[in-house]
Amino acid sequence: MTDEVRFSISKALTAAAGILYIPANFLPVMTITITGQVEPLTVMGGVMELYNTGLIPVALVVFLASVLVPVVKIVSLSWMLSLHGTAIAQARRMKVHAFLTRIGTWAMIDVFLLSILVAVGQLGILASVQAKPGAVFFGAMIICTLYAADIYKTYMIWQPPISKPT
Amino acid sequence: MTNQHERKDHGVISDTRKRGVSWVLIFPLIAAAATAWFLWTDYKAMGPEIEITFDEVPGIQAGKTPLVYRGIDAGMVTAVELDKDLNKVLVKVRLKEFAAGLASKKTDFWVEKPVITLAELTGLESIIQGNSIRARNPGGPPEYSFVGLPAPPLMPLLPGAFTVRLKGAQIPFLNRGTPVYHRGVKVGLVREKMIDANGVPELRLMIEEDYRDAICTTSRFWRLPATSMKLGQHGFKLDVEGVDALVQGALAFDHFNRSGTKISNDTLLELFDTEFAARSSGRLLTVSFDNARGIMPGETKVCYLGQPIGLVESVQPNPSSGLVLATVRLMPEFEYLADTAASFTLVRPQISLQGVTGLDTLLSGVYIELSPAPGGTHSDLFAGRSMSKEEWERQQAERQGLSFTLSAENLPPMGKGTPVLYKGIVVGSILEKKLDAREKPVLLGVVRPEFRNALDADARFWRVPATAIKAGPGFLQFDINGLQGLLQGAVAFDSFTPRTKTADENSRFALYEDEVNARALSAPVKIRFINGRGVAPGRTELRYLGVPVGVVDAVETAEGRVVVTARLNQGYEFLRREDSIFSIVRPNISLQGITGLETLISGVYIECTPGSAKRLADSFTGRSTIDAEEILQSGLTLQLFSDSTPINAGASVFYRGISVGRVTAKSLSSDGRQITLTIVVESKYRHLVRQNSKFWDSSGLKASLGFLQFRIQTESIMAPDGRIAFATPDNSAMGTAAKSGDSFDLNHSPRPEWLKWNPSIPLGD
Repeated sequence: MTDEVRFSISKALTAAAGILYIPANFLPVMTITITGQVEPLTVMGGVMELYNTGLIPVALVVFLASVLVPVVKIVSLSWMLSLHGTAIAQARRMKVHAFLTRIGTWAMIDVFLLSILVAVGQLGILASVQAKPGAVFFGAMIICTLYAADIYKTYMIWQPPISKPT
Repeated sequence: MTNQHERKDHGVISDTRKRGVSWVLIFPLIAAAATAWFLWTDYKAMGPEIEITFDEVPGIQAGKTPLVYRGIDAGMVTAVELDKDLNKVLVKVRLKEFAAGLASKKTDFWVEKPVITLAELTGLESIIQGNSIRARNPGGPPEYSFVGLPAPPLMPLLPGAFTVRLKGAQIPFLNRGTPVYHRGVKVGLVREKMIDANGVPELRLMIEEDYRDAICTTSRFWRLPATSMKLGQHGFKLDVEGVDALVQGALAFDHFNRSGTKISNDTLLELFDTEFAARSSGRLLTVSFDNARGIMPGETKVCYLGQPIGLVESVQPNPSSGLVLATVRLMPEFEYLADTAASFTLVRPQISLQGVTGLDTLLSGVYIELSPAPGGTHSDLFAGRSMSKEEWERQQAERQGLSFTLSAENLPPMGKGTPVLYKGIVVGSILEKKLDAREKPVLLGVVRPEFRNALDADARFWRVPATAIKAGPGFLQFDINGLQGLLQGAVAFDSFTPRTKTADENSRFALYEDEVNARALSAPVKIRFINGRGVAPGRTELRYLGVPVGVVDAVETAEGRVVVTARLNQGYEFLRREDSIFSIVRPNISLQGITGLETLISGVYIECTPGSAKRLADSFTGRSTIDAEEILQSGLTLQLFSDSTPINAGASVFYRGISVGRVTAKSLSSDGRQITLTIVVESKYRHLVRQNSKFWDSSGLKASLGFLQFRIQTESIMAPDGRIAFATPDNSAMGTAAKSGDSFDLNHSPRPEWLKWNPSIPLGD
């Protein structure tokens, strides 16, 4: 795989993540049914729910990992990729890239939370938790950002522009 | 330009990157396609949005409450708003695409909520799943604005097209949801309970479409009570009609095999209280009664040969005619019985001497007996009778009978209908009890025509008590004059004398206390006693040789004496002879014997001893004898005078050691100087007493000590009252026979020559 291909895939995945971000955040990721009351929850709704129930640290973690991190990732990936082949802020891009690869998996915390909730929260007619299409979009978006960051190697930051003659 | 130049220099580099770039675009394309597809399907699943207006929507939340149709989610509430006036709630519902048909004109929407009452248990799932909006019965042109139903319909799926209206005077315990049965099959429900414009309660029933053929114009509805109790001669029966009916009752209908035509929707029918009332659907008959006591509208039945065939519908007093008008409906199949020849008789329980009738009505209440007769014409108006046929006939007969009046000092609790007996046969009855002009109670009675001749002009009436107890020595007798007599007693009469003539109409008779009084026919005799202890008017009897011959009528005092007025029965006139003796017999217990013991139980009586005189008297001086036997057998009463004596009444009189008489009284002589002993010598020994007979006190033990005559007297155990002896001189000196009332001296001791006298005294000398 040439660097050009890597760069292209990274760009494509970032774009896909950007597209997926919209349904991932606006469609409910799950529905909580408690005594017949159906409560559809989006990612942000889940955070609010946690916050309202008093679990502020958990809410903070989920907010950071599920809401903020994907945005940061998409934005910084876009910024990084747009500067590909230039000599601008190369050192900073290095740092951002390292940061991205480190925090990338944290975004999956919401998916894990959801899968545990769905598995545990089956109390028959009293309460049940069901995953909704939003979760799929959310997961897909996270995977896209993960691979977009992963496939774009650090050394590529330092590559000169392709079109530039040697 | 430079590039082209260099290309020429370094060969051609094939442009493979372009291919790679286009290949890599598949990721964002897939993402976009997936998103687009998802959003598209989501949008496609969205039906039209409708708006429903409710009065209140408890538990309805936007985004959470589903719209349920036939059990599945057909939409979701998207908004809950109030209208401008804050009077209504607007609920916006986004229908799902497959349920878009619900947005049609006929659709009903309502808020389903749990209803938990004794009678109804619905919307149970709403407790867990929360309230929801329900829909049913879509149809018609599209419509997006609706008014929701105020309450859930009874049948969520069926449209409930066929409605019957029922009217009744009152319809208690019937509510929305009360089941309607036809021959035991549940065919519908009460949909609505309301009061119409005229203030008449009305029920709206919904009959399931499948069963609408069961109703026709002749169908009659009635109420099934939740539980019914039947108490009758066949025992106790409790009917419970199913659990739902148990709580709220039920309705039933049937046409009882009467053909009718189909009815249209919303027909008005009548509701009856009971099945029997529903069956009795004949034309309205009016029966007038002079007294309708016991008739209960809706309960009193009309019976024919004992079988109920109709029901009293209403009872209405009519002041203008003074009658009570009862409206009656018969079962149509028996309607032909009611023609002018038929008679309606109100049957009540009757307990009288003539018998106990209508006893069943004690349990079942009164009923009206219909007695049809041939040859009548059609009529709707009847005159009813308030008593049984037999009683009616009897009363008619008694009106033609021989009436009489009975007067008495006081009357026992004896009322109307008391039977009049003659030799044990009921010959009439007492019609009335009242006070006459002199404030004395009188009884008006009547003797039935067939017994007219039994009532003699000098008949005597007496009361027959309900129960009587007669006790005497050796017998104790209870008289209970039958059941009827037990209840009210009776009046009896008899003429103890041979018949003279039949009594006139309205004769007046005296009513005697009892038969003994009635039998005592003769003129009263007055007997004077010193002491009237134990003599009771109307109860103390006069006896002759132990047989009752009369009764004491009155006891009063006059001049320090007790005057007893008594009457003697027919045939005992001879007891009124001038010298007859009347003596009160009281119980006496002494060493000489126990006499008059029966009087302990029967009370004292007056013993009569007939005299021998020819003349009759009305006034006598009675005695208080100790033993009536002596009086009976005595012929000779003598007076003995002594200055002092220990001898008491009851002491025996001896002649040669044989008891021939007795001291009957001990008293002070009129001047107070001497003691008078009255002795009675038995009649068979009376000839022994002569003018010159000597009497002495022979009681005690006498002993002579030395020159002094010292008398020792010991009370003899055998004769605590002492004893008297007498001797009569020898034939030449005996004198004539003593007469009653003669006086003698009582010596303390006999002279020796007295003891030697040995006369021969022939009887009847």
